[in-house]
Amino acid sequence: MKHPLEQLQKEFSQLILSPESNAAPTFFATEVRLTNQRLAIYRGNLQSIWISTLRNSFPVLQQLVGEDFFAYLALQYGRQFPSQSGDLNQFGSQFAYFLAHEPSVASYAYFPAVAALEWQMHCAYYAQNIMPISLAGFLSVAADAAQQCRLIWHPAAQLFQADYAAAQVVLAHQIQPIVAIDVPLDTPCQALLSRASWRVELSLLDSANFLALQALERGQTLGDALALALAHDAQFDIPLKLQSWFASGIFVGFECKE
Amino acid sequence: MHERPSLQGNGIGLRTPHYHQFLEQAIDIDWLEVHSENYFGDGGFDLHVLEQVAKNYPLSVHGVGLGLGSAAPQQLDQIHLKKLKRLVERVQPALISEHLCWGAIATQHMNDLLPLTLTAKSLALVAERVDFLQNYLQRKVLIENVSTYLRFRDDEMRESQFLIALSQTTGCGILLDINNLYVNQCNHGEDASAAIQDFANLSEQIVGEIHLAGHTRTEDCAIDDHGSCVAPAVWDLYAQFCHSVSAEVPSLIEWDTDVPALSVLLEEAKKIEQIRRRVRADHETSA
Repeated sequence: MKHPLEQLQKEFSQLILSPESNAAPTFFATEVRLTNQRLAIYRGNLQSIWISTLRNSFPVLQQLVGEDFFAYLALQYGRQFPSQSGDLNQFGSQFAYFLAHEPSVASYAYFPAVAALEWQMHCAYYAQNIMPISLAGFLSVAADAAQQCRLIWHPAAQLFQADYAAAQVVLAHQIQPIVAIDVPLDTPCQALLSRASWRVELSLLDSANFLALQALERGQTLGDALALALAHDAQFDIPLKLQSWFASGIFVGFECKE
Repeated sequence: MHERPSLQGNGIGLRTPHYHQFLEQAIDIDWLEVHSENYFGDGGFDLHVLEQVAKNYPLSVHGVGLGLGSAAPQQLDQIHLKKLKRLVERVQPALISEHLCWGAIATQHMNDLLPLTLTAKSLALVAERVDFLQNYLQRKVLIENVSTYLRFRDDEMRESQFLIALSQTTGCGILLDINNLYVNQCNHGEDASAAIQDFANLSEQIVGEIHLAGHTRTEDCAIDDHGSCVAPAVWDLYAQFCHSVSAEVPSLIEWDTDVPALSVLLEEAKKIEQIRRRVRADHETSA
């Protein structure tokens, strides 16, 4: 009697998802002495795929925990958060959540924040390509109405904030040799992700800068965003910040009130 | 159904370490192949490179994640299909291909090319999916034979027979991976030459692309790891294909693991042309 296809595939999956197996079912035609060895090849492939995919998306975390422990985490993650897509670029979407609940890293409270930031950078890397606008271009068109304009964000430009120094940790790992961060790990961080030249750039933001950009991201006018920043920091350098924002390529258009 | 002109000549896979060479120089290769899923993003550098490269080289878009033979879920992943269609519209590939395999159960993707039972029931399932895919894309697709480490007692036919029946049912083409035939010969005692002969016996040629790759031998197994030069035995089978089926099918050097310098891939691709020339000369002599 034939095995129902769905049942056979389900059993095959269980065999390669389990850490090991010495009791291959009877539906294989391959020599019995070889069946478990061959299943081990598929099991190894699956595990390699999980490890290499997560390594690509979370390079800093891998450096933080080391190759072997990262592989252990990848296998735990792969079993607890099954891949939901044939597109492996989606596989790490729950990794930060997993780390926040994984007992073996419970004493490293900043890991989930680092993972969340790396995942956000991964997504920004694949975001849509749209030509940013320049500050000069914006001012020449918006002219006197600039303060009443809402700026449209580039899909790769995003804000990040966490209760831990995740952005500082990631930035420290972008330099070779890796440098020590100069703040305690439980320092909250605010940062901007941008992609002016394909590579995702990460910039730390002070509170006033973050508040202004957050207001713009939420659709408030440039005037309201700058007022918010000035209320927080009377020394907020508007021309300098505007130059910096537009140079990062984070805006792709604008809408002005009539 | 709209069909693009066929690819001609020899190809290699476009791999990240070689992006800049393709952007900066004219590379002596007839066409390029990419894994579709690597370009499923909304944008980013990879897609930018592909769009640039597509201006200068015909492309073959090769999927690894659709799982045409997965019994569950009942339908192909709609998001995956949409991303594939968007990519096809973006880069207008000359060829589109997927694998004869399964890759998911109801609750999760395994992200691997897993072996299908070669039965009439599986054939009906895959034919329905291929039909759907071709209608959805409005393009003919090629389906590739896979390397396997296990076969099933339920199997009712050889993989070549399955593929030929699939092509006859759906009108799809076949992407024949010669290395996979050889790996399966090593692993299951299947006759790779007989499989090629199955295609040679057809009145109509259905193979639209050839893959050639390296593998690793262990004591009990051949591992299809695409990480080395094509083995002599695989070149011999390729020569048999050129002799008995056609020396004009677009042929690709596949190298995905420990990707070497571009020059190594180009040297491998030259060997394809050497074999084809030899076969053409033999044909002319015997004509």
